[in-house]
Amino acid sequence: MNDRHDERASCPRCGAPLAEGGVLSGLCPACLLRQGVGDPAPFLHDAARPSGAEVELSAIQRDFPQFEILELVGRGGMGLVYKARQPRLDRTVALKILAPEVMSQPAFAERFLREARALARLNHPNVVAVHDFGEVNGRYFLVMEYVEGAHLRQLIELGRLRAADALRLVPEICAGLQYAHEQGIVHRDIKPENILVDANGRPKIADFGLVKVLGQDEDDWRLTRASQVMGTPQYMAPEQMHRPRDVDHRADIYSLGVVLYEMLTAELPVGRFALPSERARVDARLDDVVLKAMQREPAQRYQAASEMSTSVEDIAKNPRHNRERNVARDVVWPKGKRLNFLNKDKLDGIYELRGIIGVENEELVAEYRSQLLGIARSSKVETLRLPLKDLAVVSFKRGFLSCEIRITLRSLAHVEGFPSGPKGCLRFLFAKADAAEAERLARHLSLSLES
Amino acid sequence: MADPTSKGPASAGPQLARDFATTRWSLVQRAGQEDDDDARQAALSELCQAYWYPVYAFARRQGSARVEAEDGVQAFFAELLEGDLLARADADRGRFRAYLLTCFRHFLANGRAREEAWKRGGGRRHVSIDAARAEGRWVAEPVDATDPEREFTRAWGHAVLEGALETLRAEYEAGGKGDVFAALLPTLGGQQESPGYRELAERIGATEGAVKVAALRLRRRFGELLRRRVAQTLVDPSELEDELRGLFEALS
Repeated sequence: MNDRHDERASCPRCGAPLAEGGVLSGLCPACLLRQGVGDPAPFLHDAARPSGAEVELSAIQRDFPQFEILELVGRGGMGLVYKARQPRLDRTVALKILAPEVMSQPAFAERFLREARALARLNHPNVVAVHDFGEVNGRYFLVMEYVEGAHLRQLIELGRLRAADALRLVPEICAGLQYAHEQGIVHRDIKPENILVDANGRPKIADFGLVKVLGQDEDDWRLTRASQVMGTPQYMAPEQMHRPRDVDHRADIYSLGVVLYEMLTAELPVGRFALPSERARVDARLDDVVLKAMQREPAQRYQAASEMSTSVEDIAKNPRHNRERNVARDVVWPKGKRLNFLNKDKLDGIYELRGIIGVENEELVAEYRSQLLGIARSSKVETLRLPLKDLAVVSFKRGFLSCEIRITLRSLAHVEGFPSGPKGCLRFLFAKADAAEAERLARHLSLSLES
Repeated sequence: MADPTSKGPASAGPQLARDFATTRWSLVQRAGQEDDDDARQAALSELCQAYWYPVYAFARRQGSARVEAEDGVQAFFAELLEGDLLARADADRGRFRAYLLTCFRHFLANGRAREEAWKRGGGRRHVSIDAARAEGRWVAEPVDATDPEREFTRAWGHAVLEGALETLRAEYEAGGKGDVFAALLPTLGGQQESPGYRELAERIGATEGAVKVAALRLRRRFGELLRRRVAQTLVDPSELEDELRGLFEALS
């Protein structure tokens, strides 16, 4: 071990040993950290000095005496966002300080004032309000409504959205868009992160037109794309990439189509994507809404957000409960597809259950062998068949070690030969590598509960 | 070669306040509501997945043999994720780093009961820590840092850096600029024979100025990701700088 250590290369800059293996291989960890967060010298040698965050906070507080700056709640390429209180008006606001680098763009100040003024005129329940804007000591800022809640991305990732939620939220989002479009303002960056849902479940569109304030739409599309949150060009209408100067309100409609697809399926429509009703158990008429919004040619999309809203509202008002849906259901969990599971008890060793699980003819089917006390391996393959209608609750948990589908049955009967959990409860454990498939199965099972 | 002058990908853009207010670690601590349980469990899993190696390094530095450390660490995380430890040990809930170490110490100190769990842990082969890789890394670590806690913090620093670099690479690759990332990576970390900007510029056919700008963007984004990653293990954002300082001291 010592020999290995002695041979280690050291950093030509600071002399610390270079890391070996993994992504850090050949790099100097100390230098990396220094590069990433600045030179530590000031605070290493002067512990009494306030830290960077404190300096920042107190400087902001000095520049904005009319606010009580509560905390830094966001830090991104566009700048910093503080949660602040305005005591005189007794309201909480989000104070957005634009990053210095955005100001270096040509004619920034002029454009900022022109665009921000237009944004501040927007007044709609589904649009995050801009209360004020300006410049103090070289800092450009926006004072915005503070929304307590979550954004759509979080809701999608938590699996909290159902088709019914999408049907309710989209018309409201459309209302906000329609309103802004009527004022001649295009958002240009509609994506789940920019749609906040407040505590009352009301969607509010954030950062309207900020892309334009920052002048990014006038650059070539690579620049525009790069300055957005990474990995989101999928939300951009084709013309935003290829003809940024021709962009109009219909680009937002395209983006909302992508967002709707994601709300319904928790996936992005990439390449030759499957229709929503093929991916999830949703009304097939929503396929048409998504496809129309996402037409390549702006002229073939909905021409106004209000039109899209009407389509969605019609579907919400006339729900279809028919057998069509079962088609979609089968697609969610392909016929004949099986997944391996491996159940162990908490004490690890009293029993072990190893088998495959799938869905056949409206039944959950598991074939397994059990092994007790680590010795007596039963050679008999048991089969468990549970009609889907007997399932009451299905939950899915993703753990560090494995993941788990937990099923509560409608009756509290103990399932013969399947020693797993309390009465009326079944657990199936899956390897971490199968987590995505297991989750899909759980989703499929829980969808079958709704009917 | 992608144009190195185009803006570094992914300035974080308009992030919602909540994104930062709900760090992974604060999600874990917001215990209680049944409804939040899944999110909480997911957040804890994510954190454990990112920081199991420091625990392993600590166990090894304490003198545990390889197999013992491997099983013990697996048993420890299994128990941690079952939730019992979380409920019991609220000694220092300030930072995830401190919390994890405290928990592990309790775990080790709990004598015989632990020993049992330790042994049982041997059967848990489905734990997704990559023991062979862990040991490979362990052997490669310098041996001068004899204090287990220091070793733990150092490994922690590495885990933070690795995580941020992986995300950075993924972002550049998703933006079709994996080549830019690969070319500029040496400028970040004091790599041996790191080519100068001029040489780099010649190699990829861009101006030296363009390469400098691209390198600056890479660095800035890396800094953002690094801070965000560290922040995920904290509850109080004002502790960020202090936590970074701790990592500096451990790494230098």
